Amino acid sequence: MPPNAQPHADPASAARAPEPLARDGLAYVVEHGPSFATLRVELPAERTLFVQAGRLMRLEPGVEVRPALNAAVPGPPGLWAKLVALFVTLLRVAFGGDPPIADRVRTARGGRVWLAPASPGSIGHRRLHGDALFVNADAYLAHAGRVEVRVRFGNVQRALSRVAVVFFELSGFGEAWFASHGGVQRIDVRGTFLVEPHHLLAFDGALTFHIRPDAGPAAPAGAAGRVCELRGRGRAYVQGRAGAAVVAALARRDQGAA
Amino acid sequence: MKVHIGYRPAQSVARVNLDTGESVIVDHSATVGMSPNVRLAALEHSDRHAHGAGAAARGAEPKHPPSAVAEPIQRASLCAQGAPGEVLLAARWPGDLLLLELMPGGYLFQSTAFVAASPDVRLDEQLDGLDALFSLGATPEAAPVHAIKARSEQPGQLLLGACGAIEPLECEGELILEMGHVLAWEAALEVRDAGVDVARGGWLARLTPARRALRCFAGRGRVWVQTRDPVALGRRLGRALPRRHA
Repeated sequence: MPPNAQPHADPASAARAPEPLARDGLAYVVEHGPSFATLRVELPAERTLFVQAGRLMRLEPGVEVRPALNAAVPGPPGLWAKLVALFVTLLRVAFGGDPPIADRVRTARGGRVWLAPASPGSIGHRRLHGDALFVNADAYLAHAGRVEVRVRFGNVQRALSRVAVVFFELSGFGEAWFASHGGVQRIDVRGTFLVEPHHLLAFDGALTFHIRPDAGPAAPAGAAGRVCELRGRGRAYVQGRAGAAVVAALARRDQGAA
Repeated sequence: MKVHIGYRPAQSVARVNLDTGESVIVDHSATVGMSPNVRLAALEHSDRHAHGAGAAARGAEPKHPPSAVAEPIQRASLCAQGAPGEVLLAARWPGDLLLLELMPGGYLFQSTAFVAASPDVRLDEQLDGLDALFSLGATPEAAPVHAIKARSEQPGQLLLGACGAIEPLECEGELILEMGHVLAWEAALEVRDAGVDVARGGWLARLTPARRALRCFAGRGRVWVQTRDPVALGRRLGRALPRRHA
């Protein structure tokens, strides 16, 4: 780890009582962490929570779930907004492998919602105050508030491969939750930080991001010889395991046994 | 039999101690190891069962026709012969194990969760959610729930394997749960379509499997949820699998 990066323990996995409710924020609890973390969100009346499809685990009676195209595109409703949402949805299906439908959770009188990621691991949280956060598409779990979501690619060449690095850029005011395979490690980047692409969960919009060839033995062994380079001052989140690496190891054993 | 569960919750393993002549019915794929005097009394390859666990392992004919969505299960009867013995069992997923003492009403559980049971426990299959198969854009998460009802007239035990951690929930009225996360529930509970936002969700709500996977548990009883959905986990990892060449 370079001297300009300071690791932190994952605070979310240890949380039991709801996090303090900031103004316009949502209270939440991460339970069963760090191995099999679940997220409980205390949803006030008339607030909406956008959830990755298939991640709902439990609802309180009275909570409404409405399907929406898997693209939270704010702005005035209309034909143009619907077309943009459809286009973003198709991009997510094609490059992120995501289902076309997301869940929009809302309640008239307030209620609780429980979410569970697909992979074994923890859950990270970030409160947005007008800034931006890039979240790996595989890691995205939910968001709330006046948050705009855009799809970003590591680069076009990688987007067309099976190791594509697809990010959601979440910007505005609200909450964002993301799920990790393994633990969540926070890195305060001061200068440059290198990370293997499949281990990169999320990073501040203030950081610049490039995928480049592996810089040699000192750099992490990246997907197909590539590493992510983060530059600037801001926070990055990395995960302790990568699903793709686990599957690759299993597949190698499978091929060896065949 | 006496059951001790270790390495909880991520990599749980159950140590089952058997008295001389005592037997246990296990999912054959759940067997980790056993004492040398523990013998395989019977083994059945089947994708459906409608009799008691002991009867099924002895090769009895199933009552119901085979189910198209049942996972193949090899149920084996293991018996400690000549001396006490022990059997080590683990679930197929990374996760916790749940030990239930059978009560007259019985329990229902996801068929893929079965690890072991006492010989006198009767296991009957049930299928829920066939409508999801016919929804537009159905995904693997919308697959029907292949549940098994466990009951016993005598004291007995049931051992289930969860994907992820296990959380017991007391139902006193209504609980709305996504079915892929439900591990087991008391048979006294009524299970119905949650009907979440059916009235105002529009055509998308009626056709999407995400809504259909939500079930409402009504009444008084206990439900055990698993914090990971095995289908979602398999789908996530399966996406990263390399393509196979014929």
